Amino acid sequence: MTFEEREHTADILMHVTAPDIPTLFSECGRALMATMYRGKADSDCVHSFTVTGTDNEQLLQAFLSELLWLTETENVVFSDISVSIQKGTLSAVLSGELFNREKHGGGTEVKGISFFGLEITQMNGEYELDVLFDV
Amino acid sequence: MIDGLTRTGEYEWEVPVGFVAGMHVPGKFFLSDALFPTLEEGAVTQLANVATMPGIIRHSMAMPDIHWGYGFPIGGVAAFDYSTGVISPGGVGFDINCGVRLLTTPLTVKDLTNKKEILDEMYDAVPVGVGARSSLRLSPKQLEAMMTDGSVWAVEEGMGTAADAACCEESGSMAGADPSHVSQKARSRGVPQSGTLGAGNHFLEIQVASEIFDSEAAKVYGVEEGQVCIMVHCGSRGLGHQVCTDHLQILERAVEKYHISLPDRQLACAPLTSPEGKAYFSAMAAAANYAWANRQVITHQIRNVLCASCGIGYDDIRLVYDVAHNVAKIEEHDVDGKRTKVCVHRKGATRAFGPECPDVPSAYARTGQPVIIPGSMGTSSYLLKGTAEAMERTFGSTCHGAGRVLSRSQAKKTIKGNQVREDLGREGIMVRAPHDGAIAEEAPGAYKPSGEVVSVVDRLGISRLVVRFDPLGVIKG
Repeated sequence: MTFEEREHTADILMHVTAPDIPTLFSECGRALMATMYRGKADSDCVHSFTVTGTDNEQLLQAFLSELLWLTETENVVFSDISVSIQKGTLSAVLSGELFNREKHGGGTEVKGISFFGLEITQMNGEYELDVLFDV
Repeated sequence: MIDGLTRTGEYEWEVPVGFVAGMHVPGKFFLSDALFPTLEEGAVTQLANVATMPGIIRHSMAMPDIHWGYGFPIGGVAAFDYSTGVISPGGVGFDINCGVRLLTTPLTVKDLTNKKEILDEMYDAVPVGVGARSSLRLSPKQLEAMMTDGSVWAVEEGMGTAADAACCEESGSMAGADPSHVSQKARSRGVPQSGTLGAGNHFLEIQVASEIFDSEAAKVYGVEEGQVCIMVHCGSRGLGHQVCTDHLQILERAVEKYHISLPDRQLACAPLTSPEGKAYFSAMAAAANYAWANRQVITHQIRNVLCASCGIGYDDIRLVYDVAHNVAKIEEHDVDGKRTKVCVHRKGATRAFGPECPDVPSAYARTGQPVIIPGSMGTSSYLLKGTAEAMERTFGSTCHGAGRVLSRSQAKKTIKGNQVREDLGREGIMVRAPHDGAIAEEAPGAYKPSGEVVSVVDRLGISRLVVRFDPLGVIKG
């Protein structure tokens, strides 16, 4: 696992690391799903979307906000999240299964993706960031 | 101890200008010695950051339930001059018009011989937790009406009584709402979640009025000792969250356009009189109305359960009041001896208008508005009354709840959900939740003691204690 929860009194703060930016983003997406849902999801259906941003932080915030909107409106728990980025446009392909209360219920509702401390840094060949989910 | 703070009273602290660069006014927060160890430096910095925003009047303030939030601290109150000030989603929060309502019933504890069945039926009737879907099938036109008319819409749809809407802040329908500023994305989150409780600290609780502090005010509010009451705590669901997300993007650009200098991008804002500021206000008001309607729909679901389970009448279950604790309001207050139009941001803070103030229902006009302060799971909740002191000192505002002291991850590591359930059960408090993890996250030990928080606002006089309620049964999302 390349994300872990860090201490934050009010909300959920996730520390995420990855060898490259697209993987960092998809790990942030997995961290969001792990916060909202319990259990594992099968890959029964596929969704995709694109978002744009002027910098990587804004692009990540837009990506996670879109993922949050998609999971709520489609009622799908995503298990596989694949991200590619080209010239400020992020394309995501996601697979998952319909929310099942017995299997996935009991997670934490996320209201929004915060800009708090959202800064991508690179150290020893790895990218890392802290992202805050407002709950 | 955090360096640079000045104690100005038994329960008052000042954050002087200069604590962070660019402060226009000092910060002020209210805290007892007992609560002081819970104060986070990050929350104080956020309080000081708010003081740098254009048009802020008198102080950036925080109530005794202060803790670290998004942009503003939770417990934050700030008033901005309408002509020179700004409006900021960071001063409202993602959950627009998260709020609480209190219902009375003609039942006493002795009448609750079937408490478990009632709790189970409520759990089945009110969709709770992540992923729960509404039983309503709202058309686009109905959603539009919900955002425009709030509680009034729900009552007109047959989900309430005529008296219900009148017993809400803003009469359950905030003026200035314009759904045209609410995106399709927000609407698509709002339809399946209408009439749902949500998760986290949102709850539905069966309580008993266990102690009366002010019998005259309690009588005016229609609450008697030993009476079974219901408290509902939830907000504007995904619709409100998306309104915040959407308008934050617009206001990020507005900060550059209007050359506003901010220490934190979470305070993204726009002048109140600008197109961007007006658009956010009208979308926020639409989301606030959705929240009032949402709590009204849940009230209808609760009434149906109680009528069927306890053989009481629909009208016998009376709404005492409904308060918002995440909202920005255009109000008039006395500033330097003049009535001044201001925008008061209350972020995890409750309006506490005193006697003879506008927008207080006529039946409560001589007493002041009811102020409902929910406790954390398993702890007491309180009914207070608004005061003239609040009008003078805090722009008619008081605290909103207990305030967290433990992170959710700490709570889950140190507290076992099933143990909490058993402990509360021994005290006669039943708990229903989708998962034990949700119980651990919201356990009493994860929050400041609500009794100490309300005791501070009572001793300060910015609201006064009327009734204490103890929980009998809790439904957590």
